[in-house]
Amino acid sequence: MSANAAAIRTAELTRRFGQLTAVDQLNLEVPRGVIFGFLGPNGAGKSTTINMLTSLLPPTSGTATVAGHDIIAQPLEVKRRIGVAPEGLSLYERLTASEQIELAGRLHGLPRDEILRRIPPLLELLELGGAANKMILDYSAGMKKKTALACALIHVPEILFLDEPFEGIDPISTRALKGLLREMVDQRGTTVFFSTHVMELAERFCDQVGIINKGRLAGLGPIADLRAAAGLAEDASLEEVFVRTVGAKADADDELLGWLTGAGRPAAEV
Amino acid sequence: MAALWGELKTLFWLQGKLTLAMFRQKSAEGWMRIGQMLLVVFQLVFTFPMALAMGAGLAVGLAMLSSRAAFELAMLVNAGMGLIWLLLPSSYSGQMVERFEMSRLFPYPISLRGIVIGSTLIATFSMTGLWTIPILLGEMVGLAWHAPLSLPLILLGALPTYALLVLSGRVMEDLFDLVAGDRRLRNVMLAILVAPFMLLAFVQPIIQAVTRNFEDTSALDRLIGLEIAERLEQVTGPSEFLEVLAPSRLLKWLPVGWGTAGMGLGGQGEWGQALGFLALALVVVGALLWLHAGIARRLMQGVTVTIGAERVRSQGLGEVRLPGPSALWTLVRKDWIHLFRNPMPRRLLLSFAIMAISMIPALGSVGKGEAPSQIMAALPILVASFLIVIVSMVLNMTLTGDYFGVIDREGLGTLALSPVDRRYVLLSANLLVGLYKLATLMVLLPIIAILSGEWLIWPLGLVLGLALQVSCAPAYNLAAIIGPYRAQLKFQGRQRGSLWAFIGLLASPPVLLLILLPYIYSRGWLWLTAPLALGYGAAVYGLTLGPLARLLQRREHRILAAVTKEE
Repeated sequence: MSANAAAIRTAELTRRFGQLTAVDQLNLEVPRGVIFGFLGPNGAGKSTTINMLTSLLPPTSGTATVAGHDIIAQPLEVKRRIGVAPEGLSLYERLTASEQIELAGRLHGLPRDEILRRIPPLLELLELGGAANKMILDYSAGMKKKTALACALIHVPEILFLDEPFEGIDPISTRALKGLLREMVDQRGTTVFFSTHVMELAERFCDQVGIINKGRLAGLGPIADLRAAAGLAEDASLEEVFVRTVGAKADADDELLGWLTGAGRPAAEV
Repeated sequence: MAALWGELKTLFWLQGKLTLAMFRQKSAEGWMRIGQMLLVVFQLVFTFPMALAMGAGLAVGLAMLSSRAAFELAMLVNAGMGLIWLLLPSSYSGQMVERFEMSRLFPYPISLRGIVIGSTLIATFSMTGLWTIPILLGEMVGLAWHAPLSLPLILLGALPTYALLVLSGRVMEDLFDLVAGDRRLRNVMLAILVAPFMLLAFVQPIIQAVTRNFEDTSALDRLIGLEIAERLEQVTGPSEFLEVLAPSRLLKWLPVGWGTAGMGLGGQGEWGQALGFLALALVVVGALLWLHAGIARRLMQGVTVTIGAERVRSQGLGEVRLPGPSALWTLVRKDWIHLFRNPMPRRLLLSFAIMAISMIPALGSVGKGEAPSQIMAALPILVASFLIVIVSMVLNMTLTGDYFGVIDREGLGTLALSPVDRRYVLLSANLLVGLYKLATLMVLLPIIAILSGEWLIWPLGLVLGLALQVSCAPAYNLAAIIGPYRAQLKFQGRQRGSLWAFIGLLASPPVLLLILLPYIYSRGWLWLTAPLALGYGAAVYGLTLGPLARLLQRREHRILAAVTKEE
């Protein structure tokens, strides 16, 4: 990939499931060497977009290149350059974490010695060292997620696709992982493309964000630019930017939810 | 080519790990761990040598038969193996060894060619594959013993036969992968696979009924052919039996039969036919490989087959205002909905209904024997009692004895967090199972009554069933509380909770004695003893409900942990 090329570029990328248009003419450009947060409400099309960009799902129309390779014509080239922690995690539950990570390394063509050299520090970083020889089916949800993340990292990918990467992971591992990802971005020029619902995380961690709503891109760029585009003050939070951009209803309906909020009732009754 | 070799090496490594993982056990505590270790040792010592012994035994067996009989037996064995491979996704070995699910590899840079070839070849390292090879080798040795000159053809035929077996299993797995995202389609596929075997439950009673307890076999003779039936009566040994029965007549219409015919017909001097069948088998191998590649390609492109989420109508039970605590009826409504929407109890109810129906032909013998008159007079109630105890035991062991693992499972958290009286939780569970059991008896008891001409059996049987249910329910409740386990939709041989449920039988003797003894010796006493049996049941239930509810409250966190633990 040349230094100037975008890490990810989509053109009119569309995916339909029957009558439902999950992703609608998405035009997106993510530069290399950034942490890119892909935000959107539930069912907005985040996972579908990630599945298309990782060559797991063919688009209905439109095109995209990832690490300079076409996702439809060159799926293997794309997969060689990316690391993915998918929504469904795709783990073999009767393998141990070490074996699952070794499998990922082997499938990426790494020599066995190199894989075995890389696994222990990765497991230590993710605090999986003590459970490395237990079967994955004995793991908690957070441990499974850490294993999937380790699989995505073992071959040092150019671009990382992470679906809700920190969900269910303890704060210590989250902090360590965030530090590692930041170093990879700054030192190696890795691009991290991750979806999340946690606005505080996106605000503090991302260099750029894209907001998708009902399959369409509603906003793209550095948070400051989005803030300005939404007509919000400089100190407005990303949550406010998100709500304004998506056009969601922010407050509870006092009339309908008065029984819950207590609005419109005498204080004594409440 | 080097890239393909690298991919294949990794896939072989993966399958080897998955197969060996069968000998690793989930984490367990105390004596369970010791039991698991013993099981592992047993599996290690017996599994592979057993497969080799079977192959060797088959070779010797075939050599001892006549040449034609050896061919016929090989046909039967391979048809059986074909069935096992077809059932692979739902089979015991398929569940012991984690499935090599292609879709889990798709996020990685692995080629379609690597996946198609690799997934086919590595089936050799699956448990079924490891059993198939020695058996096929045994067949080859046994068939070649009779006709050494046909060895090249036997070798040539064995390869497509093996490929046919492996690929048919592979394509079945592909189909499961294709519908993996749709719970309903997956259940439909499992039902289609399992249905023929469930129907086998009816075969034996039907044969018994048609042949009038094997006294008149003319219908069976017509089924297999009169001439063959006559000759079968005169056979003197296994070789002659197989030659006369000649299963190849039918099995040569199956693809797996084509491969076997290719292997064995040369030895019978039918070289032309052998080559023809060999060619047919190769065509099928090609077609299966094409199908496997096609499905794999579609799976890699993210194509899945789905019929969408199940839409259900709201149940009307909750709209009726019933007397008594509303919390109890809320729970009954919840259990009712779960009972019929949840695939686990649905499957249990279905197998239970099939078992109950298959007992009907066996009831035909009631009152038709030649025993002394007192025994004959008691026979209807003895048969009814036996039936009621069996129905009660099966239903309660599968449902009440692990109610939280079958019905509530993840939803138990909602109950555990709610302030509802725990007595209602148990009452609701028992009420629903009791109603289902009474409904079953309402159908089965009239059949005994009609067959025996003893109409008293009907009301008396219902009283017996009710009294047994009420008196035994506490024991099954106890089993559900102290030995909960996560019931599996697919049987995995680890249904240990059922063992606890056996204690349910301990409470039944007083009820049985109170009904059976007066029925046999002095029926006038039944007016007193039948209400007494019900009273005994009610007393046992009433006295134990409170303590059991408190025990449930104390152990809720353990039950929740046991039934929500992911397998």
